[in-house]
Amino acid sequence: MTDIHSIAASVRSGRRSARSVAEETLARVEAGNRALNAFTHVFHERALADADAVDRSIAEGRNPGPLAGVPFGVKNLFDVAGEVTLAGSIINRSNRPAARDATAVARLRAAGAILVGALNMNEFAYGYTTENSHYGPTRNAHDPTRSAGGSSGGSATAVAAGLIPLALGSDTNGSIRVPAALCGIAGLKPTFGRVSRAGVYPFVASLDHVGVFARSMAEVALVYDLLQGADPSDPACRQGVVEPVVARIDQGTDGLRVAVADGYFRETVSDEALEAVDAAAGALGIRERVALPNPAAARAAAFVITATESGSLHHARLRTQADQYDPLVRDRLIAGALVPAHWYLEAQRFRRWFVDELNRLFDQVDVVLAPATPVPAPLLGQQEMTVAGTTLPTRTGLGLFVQPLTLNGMPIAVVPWHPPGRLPVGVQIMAAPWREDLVLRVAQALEERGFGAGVATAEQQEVRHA
Amino acid sequence: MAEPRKSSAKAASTFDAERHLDMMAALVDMPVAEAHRDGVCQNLARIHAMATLVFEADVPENTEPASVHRP
Repeated sequence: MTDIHSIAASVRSGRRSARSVAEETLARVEAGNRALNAFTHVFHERALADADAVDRSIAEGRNPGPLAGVPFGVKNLFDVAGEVTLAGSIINRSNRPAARDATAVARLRAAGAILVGALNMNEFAYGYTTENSHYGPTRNAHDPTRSAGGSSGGSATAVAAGLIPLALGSDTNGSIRVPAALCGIAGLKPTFGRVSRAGVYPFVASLDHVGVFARSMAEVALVYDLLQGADPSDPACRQGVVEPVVARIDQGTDGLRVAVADGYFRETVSDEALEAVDAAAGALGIRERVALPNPAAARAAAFVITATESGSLHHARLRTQADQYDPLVRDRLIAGALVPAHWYLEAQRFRRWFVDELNRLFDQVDVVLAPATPVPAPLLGQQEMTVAGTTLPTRTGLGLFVQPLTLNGMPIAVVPWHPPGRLPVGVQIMAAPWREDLVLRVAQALEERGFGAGVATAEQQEVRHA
Repeated sequence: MAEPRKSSAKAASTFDAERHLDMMAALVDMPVAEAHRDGVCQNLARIHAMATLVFEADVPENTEPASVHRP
């Protein structure tokens, strides 16, 4: 397999047919997925039909789109026309098939990309490990005994293993950033409201984002530009602003005020994760540090808002079908349905303060760096992890550094740091809302200085297993 | 702008997850199976601990909830 730009260029120029790319991809997915459990459904016929349509466009002299023939997968909470949207559950199996594609899926297909499958996730996106009692855990491509991160773990694993070059995921409290880091690939959570969530199964309405996984920031930027645009079907995106970034990510970091997040983000953290952030600071030649406003309370507010909104969303079905929920998720949702309004509104009041404080901080700095996770990928089934002398529950502790940063809806990219012979970790790169251009400029600069994804080959996986 | 405040008695309570479950489940009509009670109580205690961190944050009194989210 190769990268998004190369595939599209070869298909558009006629050097390869979209069908041959699709057939090769489907064979690779079938072979590679057995060990990793990234895909929950593979769309063989749909993919070949779409590929044939792209080839016909080219034969007839029409423009097949900038992603002509590029295979992609989607977390299985995205609507795909004619398919039931599982969102990692078995309860949803009795729902009607989706009438149309989610807006994000439709935009990629309109650009010529070929949808090849749906990808595993934590049930209803509630979790950081992609351990799913119904569909099994997704395994980390760099060490199949370890978690891929979550909740978009199927998306990240499929890209990290080289099964597909592109996947869509969602990020409510870090569900793109955690798996991107633990799988060692590039990820982007755009600004809240930038990319339509229409046709994406909801989790927490005021925190849900749609985003992108690929193996480089140039690829992420290309796809992100194609996903932008107003969509009246998503209340948060109705007035969407289109600001392409592809032409801007190579502008470098001269003149940008970049700082490292201090305090909270340097306390309960492993040597590996801290090394990644410090290596990024060193690569960019920056020494400045900034304290973000009360990150512990920001995480707590996001935790309370998430529990309450998701508990309310599932209230009716929890009353009558609790036994059909994943036990890893069920008790969290029931507890969330029992949260008093006062707790929730206090969290929302804190959120307003936090948003205002962060906006003030971004008057002083342009970009902030922070670790994505406290540790590299934990073992599947690992209940607790000890980090810098503190023991945390694995399932919530992985969100220590991502969960506080979703509250204000700012754009955040993750670039991987993956020294040879070690598991990858990631660095979060954040900027003020609507400044994806700054985030991606810094991410691109880091890729030019030794950050970025490798591919976990089958040989590497076997070495780790041996 | 009002002075920052500490939320009052809200933070100081001792939390009884079992009692909370019984009262709130009755109020919102949420049957909770016996087999699920321990897990739900553990999660309620975790949410309460998080809510307490929020209560203890210094947020000016006239801060409005961010119910309409605009980044």
